[in-house]
Amino acid sequence: MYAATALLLLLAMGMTLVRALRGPTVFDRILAVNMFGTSTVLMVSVVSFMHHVTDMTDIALIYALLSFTGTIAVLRFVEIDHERREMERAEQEREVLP
Amino acid sequence: MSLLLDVLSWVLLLSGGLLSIVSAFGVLRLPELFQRMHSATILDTLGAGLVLSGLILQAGFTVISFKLFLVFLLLALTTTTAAHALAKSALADGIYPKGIDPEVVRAGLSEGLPGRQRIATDRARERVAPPASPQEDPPPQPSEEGGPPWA
Repeated sequence: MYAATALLLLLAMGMTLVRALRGPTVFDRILAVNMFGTSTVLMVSVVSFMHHVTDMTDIALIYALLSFTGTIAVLRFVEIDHERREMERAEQEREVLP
Repeated sequence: MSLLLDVLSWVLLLSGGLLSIVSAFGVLRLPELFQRMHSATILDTLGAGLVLSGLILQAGFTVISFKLFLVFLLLALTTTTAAHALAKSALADGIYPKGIDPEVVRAGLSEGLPGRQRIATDRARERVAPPASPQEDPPPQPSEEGGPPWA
């Protein structure tokens, strides 16, 4: 039964990866990677029960924390980059205008 | 009793897996960013809750089930925060949900932002809908000879 759940989760992760590769904007990619991280956490938990290595739940815990931190960091990076570009454009237009 | 618990946890695990498939299909096929976010939420809350509660039923009353509960709590806190940040960032970048008046979104968005971010938001707004060109003629001056002619 764990194997069936792990298989379903694997399918879902594959579909999410397709979206991450195809996503038109960077936010689609971030969303897909975030969801991939969530399903990885579930996958690690299920696999730890499947192989009777229940210490792996600690790994799932740490992975959830790291995935969240990574998502927020990338979002902040994108936001700051966007902000800087907008500021530069505003500066250029101010120089052009009399 | 043990068989009952097993069957219950199997049902929970399988429905969690099916919900993850549904969620991933929505993320793959829905046409718009915000609809995809809605679909991703299914896995983050209900899918994770079902799978983890199925595992908790298998683990019984142990430290491991407490850890799994902790994983669920962490996921419930972090994915909502990440979704909030993602939606805010996308809105500030000028991506708006279809069928919603953009003015409403912008008014709510630029309210609590610090100055530089507000400027970036205003620039994004102008890119989406350029503002009406300002009028060239000056506003009418009040006449010197008392009131208007119809007074």
